[in-house]
Amino acid sequence: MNKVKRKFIFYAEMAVFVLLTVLLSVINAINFTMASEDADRITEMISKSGGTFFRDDSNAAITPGGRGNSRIGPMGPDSPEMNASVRYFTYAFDEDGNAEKIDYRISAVTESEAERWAESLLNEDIGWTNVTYRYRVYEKNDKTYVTVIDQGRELLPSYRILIISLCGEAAVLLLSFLILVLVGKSLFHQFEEADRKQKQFIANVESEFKLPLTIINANTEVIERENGSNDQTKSINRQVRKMTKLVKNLAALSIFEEKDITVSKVDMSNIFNVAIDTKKSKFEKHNIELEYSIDTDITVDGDERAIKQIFDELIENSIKFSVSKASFILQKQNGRIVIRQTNDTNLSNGSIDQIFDRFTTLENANDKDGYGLGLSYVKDIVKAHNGRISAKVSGGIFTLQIDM
Amino acid sequence: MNILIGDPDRDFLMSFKRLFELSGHSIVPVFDGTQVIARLADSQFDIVILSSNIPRIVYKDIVKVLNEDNIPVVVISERKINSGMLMDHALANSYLSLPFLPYELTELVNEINTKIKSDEKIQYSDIEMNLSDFMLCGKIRVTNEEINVFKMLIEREEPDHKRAGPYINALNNKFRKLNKNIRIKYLMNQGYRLVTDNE
Repeated sequence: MNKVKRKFIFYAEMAVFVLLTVLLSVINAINFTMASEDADRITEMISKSGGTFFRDDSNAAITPGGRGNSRIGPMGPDSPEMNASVRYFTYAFDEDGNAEKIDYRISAVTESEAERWAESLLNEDIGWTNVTYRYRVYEKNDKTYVTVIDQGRELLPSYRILIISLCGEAAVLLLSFLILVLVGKSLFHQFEEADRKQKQFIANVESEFKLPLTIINANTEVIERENGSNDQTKSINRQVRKMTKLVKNLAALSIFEEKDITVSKVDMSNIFNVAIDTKKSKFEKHNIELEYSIDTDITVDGDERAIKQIFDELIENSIKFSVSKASFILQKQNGRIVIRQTNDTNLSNGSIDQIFDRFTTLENANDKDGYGLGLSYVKDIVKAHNGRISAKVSGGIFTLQIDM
Repeated sequence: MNILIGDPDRDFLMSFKRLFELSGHSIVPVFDGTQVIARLADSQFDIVILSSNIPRIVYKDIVKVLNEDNIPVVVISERKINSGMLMDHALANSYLSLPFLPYELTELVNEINTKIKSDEKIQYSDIEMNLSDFMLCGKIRVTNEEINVFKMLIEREEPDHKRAGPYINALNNKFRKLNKNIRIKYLMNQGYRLVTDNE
């Protein structure tokens, strides 16, 4: 259930992240595009008036909102205030590469730097240079003009919006995560409760049927011994045997609860060897090439019955789903016990942790017997022994690993 | 045999009482732990059959009393047998998991009774199992099934793989506890064998 909860939070967070990223990216992209267009309109104006905002003769602005215009408005490219606020330089180059300063109204760059900079842009057309400088290269009177304007101040609000967007997105993600964790607790409570009841129900069915079956058996035996057997007692015996088998199967598949653990030193090597040896013929029968490497004397403090169940399930699974090869490893690595089952498979690549969910089978199990309970049982056992279990398919190989 | 059966279920008591009586045994059925203790005080029993969910007194405490008095006991368990259960200090002579067939209990009772009366000793290396008191080297209690598994291994017979697991594991743990260097190991293509620890 925790896994489902984690998945829910992960996907919800991903949805919030994607939505916010798309929204904020669009806002910022529009913002920066508009800033570029504003800069281009200014460089266009400058280019149309020969590389300067001012005519040499009258020193009058040629901008649409030029000097004397009473228009008051925001500081767009058309604003009459633009003349005084634009920081720029324009150099013209003749065919021999001789530079001529057309206008120079900028403090951040010296005249010689400006000339070299303009020269370096001669082969360009229009664009950004040095992050916040917009340039335009154009031809006029057989000369190539390079105008570079400083848009740093104009871009500052755009950068601020970008930073605010990023911080805002992080804050929203964090906040939504906290909300999801809190909401998830109550939201998943009912699912956890249903899950617990399902486990309890399976355990109860198994437990509650045991005694009546034993009593029915005993009573039938008494009747047979006192009055001899007849068709009815034989029928009772057959049906009781059937039910006993069913209950025993249910017991084997009943969900493992931590409280059921009886800890003792368990010889895993021994149990694994027995499990493999007794199932060898089954591998042969299914034409599965079997390989195994079982280190000796690997012991664990755990429930012997449950540990045996792990190996039985892995081997049964391997027999069911291997195409032609199967292998098992039991070894100690860095103080941890590693159990690895691999086999060739037709499944496609990826993590397939859903096989540990109860009543879940993969597409290669369609024509096989089973309820999809075995590996969920294994997972519960591993978890109860403080271990980890994972499964994946890579390059046609199914790998299931348990670390304990 | 004089048998005491303690179980809270009336139907269980009545059916097995009748079944044992048909085999010529004398049965005293009781419903809870206090009745078990009371009956033990005023009568002599050859064996006690005890449910693990007997009310009023925890069944392990009753087993402890029976162990002290050296009265054999079979515990009817709702749980499957596992080696941890077999390591309990107070140990029944056998544990039988529900559901079981009637003959399993009747045969088990006869088998335990026969063993106790036989006064036989099983010896392997420096390990000795005494059948009269179900003791391993006079120090640790063992169950009927552990004795059977040990005996089969000495006689080079193969124990039932499906059922022997917990008993083999428990025996190995008991050997370790007694610092004995004998272990039961599964050898590939050979089956279970008694081997020395460094083999």
